[in-house]
Amino acid sequence: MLQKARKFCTVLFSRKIVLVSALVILFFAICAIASPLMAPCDPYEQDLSRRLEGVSSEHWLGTDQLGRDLYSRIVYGSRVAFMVGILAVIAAAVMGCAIGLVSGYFGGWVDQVLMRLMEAQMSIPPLILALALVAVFGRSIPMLIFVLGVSAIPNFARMMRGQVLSVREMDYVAASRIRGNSNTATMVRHILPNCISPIIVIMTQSIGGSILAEASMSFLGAGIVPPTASWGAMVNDGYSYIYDAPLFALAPGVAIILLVLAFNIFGDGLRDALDPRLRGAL
Amino acid sequence: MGENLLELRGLQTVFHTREGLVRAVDDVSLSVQPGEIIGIVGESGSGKSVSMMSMIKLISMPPGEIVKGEAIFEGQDILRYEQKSPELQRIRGGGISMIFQEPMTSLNPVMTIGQQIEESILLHLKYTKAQARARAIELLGMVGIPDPESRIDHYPNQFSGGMRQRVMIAMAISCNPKLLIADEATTALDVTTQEQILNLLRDIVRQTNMALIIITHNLSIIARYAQRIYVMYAGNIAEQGRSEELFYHPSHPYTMGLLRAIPRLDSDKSARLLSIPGAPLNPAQKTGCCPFAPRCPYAVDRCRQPVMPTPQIYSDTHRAACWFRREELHGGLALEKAHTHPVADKPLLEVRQLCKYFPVTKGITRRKVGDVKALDHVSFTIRQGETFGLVGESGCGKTTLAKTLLRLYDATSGEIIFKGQNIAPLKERHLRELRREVQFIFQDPYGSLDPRQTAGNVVGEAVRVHHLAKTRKEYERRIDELFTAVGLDPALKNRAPHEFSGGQRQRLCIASALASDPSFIICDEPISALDVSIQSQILNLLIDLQAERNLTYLFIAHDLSVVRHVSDRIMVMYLGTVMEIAPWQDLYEHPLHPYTKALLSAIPVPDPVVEANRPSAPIIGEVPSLINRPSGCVFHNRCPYATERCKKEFPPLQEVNEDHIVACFEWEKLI
Amino acid sequence: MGRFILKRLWQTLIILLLVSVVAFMLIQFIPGDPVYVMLGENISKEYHDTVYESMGLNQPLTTQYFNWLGNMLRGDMGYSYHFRKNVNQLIASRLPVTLTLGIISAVVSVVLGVFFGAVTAVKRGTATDTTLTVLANIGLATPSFWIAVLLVYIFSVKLGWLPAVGFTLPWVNFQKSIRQMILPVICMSMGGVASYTRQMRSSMLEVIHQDYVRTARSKGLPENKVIWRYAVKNSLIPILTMASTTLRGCIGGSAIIETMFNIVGMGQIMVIAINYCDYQLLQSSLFFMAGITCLCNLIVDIAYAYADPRIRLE
Repeated sequence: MLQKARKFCTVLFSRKIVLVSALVILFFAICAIASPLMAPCDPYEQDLSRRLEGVSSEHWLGTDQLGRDLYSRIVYGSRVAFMVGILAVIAAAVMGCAIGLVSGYFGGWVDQVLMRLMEAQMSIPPLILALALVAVFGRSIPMLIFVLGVSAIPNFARMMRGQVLSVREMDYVAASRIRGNSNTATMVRHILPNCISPIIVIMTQSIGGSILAEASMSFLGAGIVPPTASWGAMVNDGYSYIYDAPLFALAPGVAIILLVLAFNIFGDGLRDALDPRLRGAL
Repeated sequence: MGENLLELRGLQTVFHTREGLVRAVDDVSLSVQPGEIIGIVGESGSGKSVSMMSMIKLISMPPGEIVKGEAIFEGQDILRYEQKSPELQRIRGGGISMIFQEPMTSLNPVMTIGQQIEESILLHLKYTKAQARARAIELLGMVGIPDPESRIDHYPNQFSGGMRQRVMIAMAISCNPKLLIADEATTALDVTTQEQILNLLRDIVRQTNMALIIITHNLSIIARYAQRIYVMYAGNIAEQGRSEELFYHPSHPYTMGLLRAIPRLDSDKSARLLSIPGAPLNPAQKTGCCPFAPRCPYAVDRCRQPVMPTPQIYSDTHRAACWFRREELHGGLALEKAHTHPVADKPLLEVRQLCKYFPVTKGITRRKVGDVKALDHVSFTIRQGETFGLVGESGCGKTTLAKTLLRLYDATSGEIIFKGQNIAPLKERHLRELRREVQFIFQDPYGSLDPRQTAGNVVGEAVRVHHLAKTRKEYERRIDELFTAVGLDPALKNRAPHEFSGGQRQRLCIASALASDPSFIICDEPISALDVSIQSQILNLLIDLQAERNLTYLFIAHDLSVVRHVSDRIMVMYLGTVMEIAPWQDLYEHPLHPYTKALLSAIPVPDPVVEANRPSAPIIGEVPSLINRPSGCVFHNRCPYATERCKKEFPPLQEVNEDHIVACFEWEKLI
Repeated sequence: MGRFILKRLWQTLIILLLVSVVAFMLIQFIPGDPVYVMLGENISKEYHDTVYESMGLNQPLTTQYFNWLGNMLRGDMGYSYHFRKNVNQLIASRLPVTLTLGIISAVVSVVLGVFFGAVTAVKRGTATDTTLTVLANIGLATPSFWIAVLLVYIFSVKLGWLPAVGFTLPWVNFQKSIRQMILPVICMSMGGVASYTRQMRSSMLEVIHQDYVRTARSKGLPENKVIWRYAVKNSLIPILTMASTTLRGCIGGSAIIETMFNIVGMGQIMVIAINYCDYQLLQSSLFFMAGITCLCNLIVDIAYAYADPRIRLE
């Protein structure tokens, strides 16, 4: 088992860029877990006399409109990005896979209804849907996770359905029934495990998108409630002061790009490592 | 001997892969004369296709690289030219054409076949568009496509596999090439279609003086068509010679092994098939010695030194890459007597009037508009301890029958009486005993093993499901036993299925089928996905297991010579109906149904003299799709003896004698 | 083919029906009295009751739904209390803005993305490939609002070349329109270009290994024709299915970009409708936009079937 894991890691990290992206993710993860250690200042401490300052030894990236240390706020912002990004994807995957599983396994009218429902959802732009849901259910971090999760359901449902449909037709599934396994046992023992790995890949690849969605929501003022630090909200705050302090709006965005890029590349790496057929087709 | 059209000298092609350098083609030399048909035979990975494709640089480079060699075609070395050079582009299609294995994917699905053929013509010949179209229509007619004027504007997916292969041929010969290479061109086709396509190619060669290279893994095909043969193994030419030389005096241990490993239509059934041990060498593992040495029964130390053997020369045309002359090779390959198995008179399985229809629906309301009759009133009996063979081409209902017997499909009507009980109407929860008693071996050893389970788990699953082992220890012992029974090392049981070779995987499948101690096993084309040299290993294993464990087999295959080798009685099916049931000798010596006769004559025998003297009675057309099933006798539209009555009435099964049953009105007149 | 269109049409109708239910039910979950939520607590009781009645809120839920759906089908999309205008008028004035931006962005995404994707696939492994692939990955990871901030900072604040706000329809004042559109279009199409580049690249690489491409080479077709006539053409078919996603993305993205560049379009309307709980505006514009997306999906599906004879001739 250990040997297998090691072999897998060798393949996964055989491309330098995947290793680098893993390190970037690790760095941000440390920022999120140990924010007080990584941030030089208190991200909530206001000092109105020192608003919108530039780069200095005290404030590495300057201060915001309330005189708070920008660098520290970016460090703390990684908490929201990670929490919302990852949990929203997990929520989406759980709900989506359940729908996809039911749809693909039972087929018939259940499948028809569920798939039309998914298409119905997909005909509404996800950002608008998320905004509307937030308007209805209110603003809070758990709600944001739920809302972003819901808007990503169709991807997982469709993916899972396709997987189930193709795996269901495999000979080894018929073989399992011939050996006397019940439908449930076949499902649990042979169909599910073979559907999982592409789902894990899609999940990793979706985290980046989910972080972007959180940033967009916060940017539009429908995400994280201030004063909690969120990268998207910081860009929005900074946009008003673009003439005086360009770094205020631009720096949090760089953090978003780095983390999202790292997750996307890591996801691609994972896909290539799990599916040798796709290797190099990035 | 005349001037060579093509002379390949010392070709070496390698691939740079993760696993290292793969020497796919290693010092291959061959020659072809105008109007000649030569064959290149070899198993997967033998380099037979790669050598031909490197010649016109159709391999992807990188990772491929042509290290050295010359290919003199019409006096010029074409290997000099760059992959994308206009000179080579003129030769491809214009001088040397190729036909590939997969007719379903080898044509561009979004262009009409006319556009694709005309494209070729306009590239190489100075034709106007209208002339090109006229020529395309003429070619389509020539390769036997009915109504070419209207069919020319159809897309590839509107043609059957055999028809697409005809289109490919029309395209390949459109610019009058000097050399045509058919790369496993008929492997994916039905036997009767295969015969038609190969006959077509031979006729074209005779008419145009074009040379033809047939690349195949099937020695029997070669015997019927090729004048000279090259046998390849792991990137090297093992033996070459004229057909008769090769078939009557095989001089390389590999060729000898191959010839005795394949069951033939005229071979002695009581003798055990000879099998070559081990699996074909992966060219990545070549060490520079004779590549066949690890599997060769005659190998001595000298064969394992990293020097290639100097060929033994037997005639101008016949040579074998072996250190020994064939006279020196003896012993080690003695024929053994095959195991015999007792057949009881008691029926194990009786199938009566079994039907399986799949509904055809139409429109958004899914209104049922008809049935696809995959099985139509099928009746037969399998006796305890016998091997019941089932042959037929695609769409004959072989696999549907197997799945219905296993109750993976519900029968539309009819009875399946297994050990005295009708299992057709049983509910799933009452099938437990059936699930233990009846097992299945799949065609594809790659798809039938769950990739996420270890080999031991796969084999042991049935033991767990049916609670056949009381303790952990007993369970493990049982698995070890099963591994040993199928000739696998029990130490391998913790490996994942993908770490096994194709032949080993099929052994795993057999072990997992044996796990529940069944009395009846359905084998659905169990060897057709395997390499030729592995096939006999699996066949022998199945025969041995039957004798040891008193098993009854339903053996399904499309290859009549294989079915003949293992079966006691044989049933021939066509489009979901039974055509003929007979003991094997009767079926092969006195076939009654015209379809059986046609099938038999379509199977080539690996013996050029026998082939030359066999009457050929090719049937016309291809197997229709089940949706367009003909009325009356389903075979009437391809049958040379069909009468008006055959078109209207369905011929019932008639008993000719006790064991021989045929569904034909005219059988008495045809004897 | 006719049957295929009919089937898709039927499915689209069902989808629209489902969307209408979703859009309608969504509003019902907003806590509190809808009129107070919408107009604030400090309105008179009489005014509240008039509005309450005129919106039909005193009727049973199903009646409300069928009334609304009936009105929608008749082309009456209701009244916006925030804008104090008919929703029809609002949409009529703002839809052209969003559609212009959306269509231009979608076209830019497809054209550039397909081109870059084809180039990277053909030049696989070269510096061009690496550069473009890296850029595409960055583009996919960059939030559109951030690129907007960056571009505004560079081109408006520092260089002063392009305006940071406003929008004019091209047929009103062409030159001004172009100047105002450059930045929003770049921001809206960046993600699309990036994802088309990646998709096209992997699609091309897959097609290049297909048997029929080998057949084309084996008959001596020059490489550039193999690429254009076979690889690119066949790779475009799966790309086509992405086209509807792009439009959906552009409409969703317009919410952000229109807010940032202060463009008076549909995206902005929807954000406002959500923020001010403008019931009928929200319901109707959601349904309307979903309808447009469905229509585009339908067109794409038909185009897909037309482009691929395997589906057309099924």
